[in-house]
Amino acid sequence: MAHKILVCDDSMFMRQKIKQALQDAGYEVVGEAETGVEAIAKYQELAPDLVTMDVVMPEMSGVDAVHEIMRGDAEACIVMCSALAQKKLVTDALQAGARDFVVKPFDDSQLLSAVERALQ
Amino acid sequence: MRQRVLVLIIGLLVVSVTSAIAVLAYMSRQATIRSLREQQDALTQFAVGTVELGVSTGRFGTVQKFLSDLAANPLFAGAIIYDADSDVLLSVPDDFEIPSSVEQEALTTGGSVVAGDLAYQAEALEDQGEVIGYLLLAVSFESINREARGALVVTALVGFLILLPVTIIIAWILTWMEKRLRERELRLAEVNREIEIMLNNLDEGIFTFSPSGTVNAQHSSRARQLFGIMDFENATFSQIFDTDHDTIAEFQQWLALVSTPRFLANWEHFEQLNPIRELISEGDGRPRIITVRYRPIIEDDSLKRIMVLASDVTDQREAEAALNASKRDRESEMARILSLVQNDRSSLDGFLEEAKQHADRLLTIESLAGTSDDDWTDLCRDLHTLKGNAGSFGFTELESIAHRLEDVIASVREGKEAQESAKWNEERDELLAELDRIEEVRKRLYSSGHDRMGIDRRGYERLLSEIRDDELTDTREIQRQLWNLDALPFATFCERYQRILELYRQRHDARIDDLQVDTPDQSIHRTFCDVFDDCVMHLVRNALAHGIEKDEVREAKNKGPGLIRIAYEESAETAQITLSDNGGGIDPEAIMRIAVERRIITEEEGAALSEDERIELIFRSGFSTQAEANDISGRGVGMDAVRTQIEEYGGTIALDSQLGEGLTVTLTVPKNAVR
Repeated sequence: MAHKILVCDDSMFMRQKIKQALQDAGYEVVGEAETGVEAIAKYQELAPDLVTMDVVMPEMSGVDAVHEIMRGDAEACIVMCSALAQKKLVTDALQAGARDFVVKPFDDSQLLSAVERALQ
Repeated sequence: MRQRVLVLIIGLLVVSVTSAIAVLAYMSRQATIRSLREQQDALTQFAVGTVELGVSTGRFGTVQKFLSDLAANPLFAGAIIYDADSDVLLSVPDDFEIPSSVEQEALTTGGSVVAGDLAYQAEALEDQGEVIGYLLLAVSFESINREARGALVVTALVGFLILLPVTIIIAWILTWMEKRLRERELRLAEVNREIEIMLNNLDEGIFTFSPSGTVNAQHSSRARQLFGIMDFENATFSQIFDTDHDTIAEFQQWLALVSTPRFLANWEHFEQLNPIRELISEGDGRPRIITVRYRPIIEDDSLKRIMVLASDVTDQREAEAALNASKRDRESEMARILSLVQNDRSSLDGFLEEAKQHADRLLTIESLAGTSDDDWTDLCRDLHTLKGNAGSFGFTELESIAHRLEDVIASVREGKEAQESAKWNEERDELLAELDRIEEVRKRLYSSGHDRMGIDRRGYERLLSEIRDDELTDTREIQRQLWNLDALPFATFCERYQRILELYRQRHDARIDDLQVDTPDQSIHRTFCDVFDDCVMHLVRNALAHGIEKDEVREAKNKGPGLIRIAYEESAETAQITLSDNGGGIDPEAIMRIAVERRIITEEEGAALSEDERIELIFRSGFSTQAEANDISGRGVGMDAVRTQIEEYGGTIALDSQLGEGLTVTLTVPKNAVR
């Protein structure tokens, strides 16, 4: 059965891009979130197998959202999507329990290999 | 150090074993002494009895014999004998004193002994009637002790003798082991030294640190240079990387992260998160750019150490920048060429002329501050026009310089004159330089006087993409290929002759086929077009005027329509045009007659010439087979002019005439003479 994925990013373009890449690779994108708060709510509601998480989002940052999600589910599988300059935030997120990261702009194969590694 | 402790321990062991043996031996001797004491007790009883008997039989001599025998016994200390007959008390030896213990002993067995003053009482013995003598025997404990000491020494000696070789063997083994150990140590030191030499010869600065954050002492000498640190073992990360506290904290955080097995497995991916990947090392002199990479050293699936590999990439970066700059220059040059070749010459001339006028006006402005508002308006208009035109002609560099100058003016008008003045001069000079560069390219491209280059657009695009992709970096090669681009298909080059031919056909209503170009796709460089153009033009006209017969003559000879063929070929060294017609060829006789008629040769000379020599006469100066120049055969330019021009380039002209069938003229020019 295809893995269920929740895509969190405040940019619609980026959500579309990630969604397309994941669907092309056979994953099932079960939901999208635009903010950290929404990401947490959708996570609880949809219980996805994996979350792609933008680092900078309105209301609550991706890093805080990772903390919150991990607190509710220590087994949560989260992949960070960040810009190159956000090394520190990504490191924080990984320390908080995120499993992998991909740096924007990325091509589909980079995203997919990060997702595959995280799901292992 | 460790071996010495070992030897000490073994030595102590040997000593304690020896001591233990000695103690055991001593204790066993003590037991012997105890048993000897018991023996002595028994002997005392026995001796007393024996003496009683001996003396009672009156054989005192026997007693003395017994005593002397007894004295030989090492246990014998001495004896006292009472002779009741003579009432004499004898002591053996003479100074023997009865030890009090012995006296006590004797008393308990039934006698009374008084030692010292020789007053001896033997009531108990006298009570028994016949007793005439009494013997007291003492045993020398000292001698026993002496013997025990002796035994002790012997035991120790024997123990020592046995233990000595064992000790020696152990010592030897230890020495051997130590030697082996030292050899291994030396070998290890040698290997370490080799590693060090290797490290020191590497161009990369290398050192290692453990996941806990301690920096290890070993490092390459280049590392000392790159990081400016002499003592790595005691250096901290902030010293080595010369960075602030926050970055170091981030670095430590990263270190903790990548030390976990999950992230360790994808080191290269997570290495990207390391905050210290590039440093600027101030050092002495110019700043150096140092890139830092990290490699994990993994033992038993866990991170043991991290190796830091630092390289100075300053030169590389500079070379890259220079390469990019030269690439940009090349591209600008290509853009200039493209702009020049894409536009027709007259409009280009107009644009450049105007651009120069604008530039000259810019030069008249000496000080930005003293410029009136009206002047500013004029300037802005000039620049705007220049920018717009440059853009429409495709001179992008010129366009952007004009744009920057506009920006400078805008800044000046906002009152930032002081800091903009230098920029103004700089940009203005750049504009003039760019115009010069365009002019230079233009001169190169249009030296041949053509109005428009027939540049191969596809070839140009290909060349441009090769330059952009760095497949082509040698500027000489680029120039060569650029040169090659200034070429056109031979068929295009021949269009002008076709027009001549058509003109002739119309005027004379002659049956002549179109010019047949045998090598239409062969490209011919513009330079060779220039070399051959006039000559070919002349040869075509000659063929039409003199070679191809009039229609009626051809019909009479049963010949088809007239035909002129032309071909162009290049070899590595030469460029060659072959022009042939199916006319009447050259009649040597007719040529000779004309030459004589025009006083080029005498009749006699003419008669002496071979056929080929007669044909060659057409190259003589002043030879022309038609009296008047007409619209076709030109303005008095003869074959001599053709030959002169070709020979100027070191080339040759060859004629192959078949009388009645046609003429083939071959023009050959060496390439290097032209290029």
